[in-house]
Amino acid sequence: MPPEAITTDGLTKFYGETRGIESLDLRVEWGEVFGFLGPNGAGKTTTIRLLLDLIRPTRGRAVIAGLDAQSDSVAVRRLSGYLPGELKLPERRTAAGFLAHLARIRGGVAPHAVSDLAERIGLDLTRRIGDLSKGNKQKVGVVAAFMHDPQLLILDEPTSGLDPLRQQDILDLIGERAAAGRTVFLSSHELDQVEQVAQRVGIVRGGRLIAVETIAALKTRAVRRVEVRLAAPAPGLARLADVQGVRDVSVDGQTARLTVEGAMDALVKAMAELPVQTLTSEAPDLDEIFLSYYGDDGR
Amino acid sequence: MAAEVLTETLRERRRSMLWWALGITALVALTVAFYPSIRDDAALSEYGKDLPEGLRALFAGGETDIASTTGYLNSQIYALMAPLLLLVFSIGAGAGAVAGEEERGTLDLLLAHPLRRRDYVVERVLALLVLVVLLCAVLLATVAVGSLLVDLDVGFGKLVAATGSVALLALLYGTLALAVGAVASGRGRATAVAAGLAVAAWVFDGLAQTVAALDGWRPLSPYYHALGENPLREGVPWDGWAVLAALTALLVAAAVTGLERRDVRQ
Repeated sequence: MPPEAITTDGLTKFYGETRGIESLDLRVEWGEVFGFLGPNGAGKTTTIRLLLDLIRPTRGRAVIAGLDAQSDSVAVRRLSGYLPGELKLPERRTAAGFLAHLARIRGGVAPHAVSDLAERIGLDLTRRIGDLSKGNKQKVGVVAAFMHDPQLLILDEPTSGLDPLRQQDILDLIGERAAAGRTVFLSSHELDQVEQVAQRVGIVRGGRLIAVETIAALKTRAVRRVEVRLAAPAPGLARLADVQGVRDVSVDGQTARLTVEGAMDALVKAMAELPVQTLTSEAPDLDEIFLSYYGDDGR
Repeated sequence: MAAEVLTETLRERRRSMLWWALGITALVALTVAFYPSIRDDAALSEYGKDLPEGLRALFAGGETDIASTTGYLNSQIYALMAPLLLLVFSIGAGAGAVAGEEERGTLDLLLAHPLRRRDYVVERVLALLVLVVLLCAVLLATVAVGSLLVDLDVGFGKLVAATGSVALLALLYGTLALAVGAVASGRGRATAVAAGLAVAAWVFDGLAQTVAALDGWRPLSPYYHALGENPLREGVPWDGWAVLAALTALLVAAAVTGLERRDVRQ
């Protein structure tokens, strides 16, 4: 097997004057779960569609499992499973009928692969796709991507539009395949979605790759907004500003709003003596992470 | 994956094909059933002669005696109604094959599977061929049976010739719609280009029959190659069929090249 699952060299795609992705140099190792993280419009979907030869690069190339993404595209697509970011399915077919069609294009899949997956994620295969909810349609796409147990899974925002329980089902499924040695390339605009399953992430913004980091390193950079509300006034509230990793503290009566970079441990211990009524923490904001890397130039 | 795209297309089309077949049967059967009352009407048999030449060429297949068996079948079915129905069907199916799937967003997932774009185009053209041939077989069977019942027989071979011409004409413009959609996305554009060129070819052929200066230019119109020599009377226009088949093959090549080269829209 070639050393890397995915390699891109100066991969660039412009849509007319608009930059999709520019000079992308990426290495994804076999067996790793690689998160491709960036806000909407950063070039994640463009990159994924270049890997699958749905669109053609302006410059550069992508190599998957040692195969050129463009000239060997059929072989590339045979060993990959793809979940589109904006999944569209034929409304009049049943889920079972359509998945059987896709399986036949692949030359067949293991017996029971489709029904086992469907049962696992709770999809009724007998229903017409047009009658399914958005979440259930997404499940049809998930089965289509996983049913042939591909070496490489390319998933574009696999959890978008799903409720948290369903999101967890999909993340569990990804984790399971990763444990079985499969390689996963996973795009998302939310760090929380990839940090559970990915070992490394690439961060894209405005069509450029701005960092590749391990999840562990990224977590120390992750910035969370926290709101602390006390049950009674306490002078210690303002002193939270002195705690390591805490900044931007603003105190308003019994409420303090602040940002924490990295681990929350020091903050939580400092609050131990305060009469805390509620403690609210938001998911880390990608923009904040970018800023922590590049200051305002990242914008 | 033997012809999976072809079989899936036929499977998807099953229900709509049933309606198209019923519609064609009903319209053709009704037209044929009117023949006995028209045959005996002397005024109607003169009617064709009174039509201005241009209108006669466009709407009556150039027939002067529409009460004769050949004149009736040609003017009422083969010159206009049958090509119109089959072209509407074929252009719709052709525009849907690539541009339509792309607009619905379903092409993206399909072409992310181990399927060559070339094979996708060729199988969709073959599906179009099968569907057009099926509808033309329904047309042929209805005319053949109906004409025997009302004494409108012109000979099965002549019916096959005329129906075959309609099929080839429909296939040509359906493939044109498919090719336009394969070269550049947009179902509306694919439909408009194919339908516009089909109407232009039909009008041009009618005009060329009345305007002396255009007479030598009739072969520019595919309509002429299919129906210009009146296959219902003259039999299979082999040269015309060869021209139509060659044009269709060129369009298939253009469709393959067009889709191979461009980005698929999401």
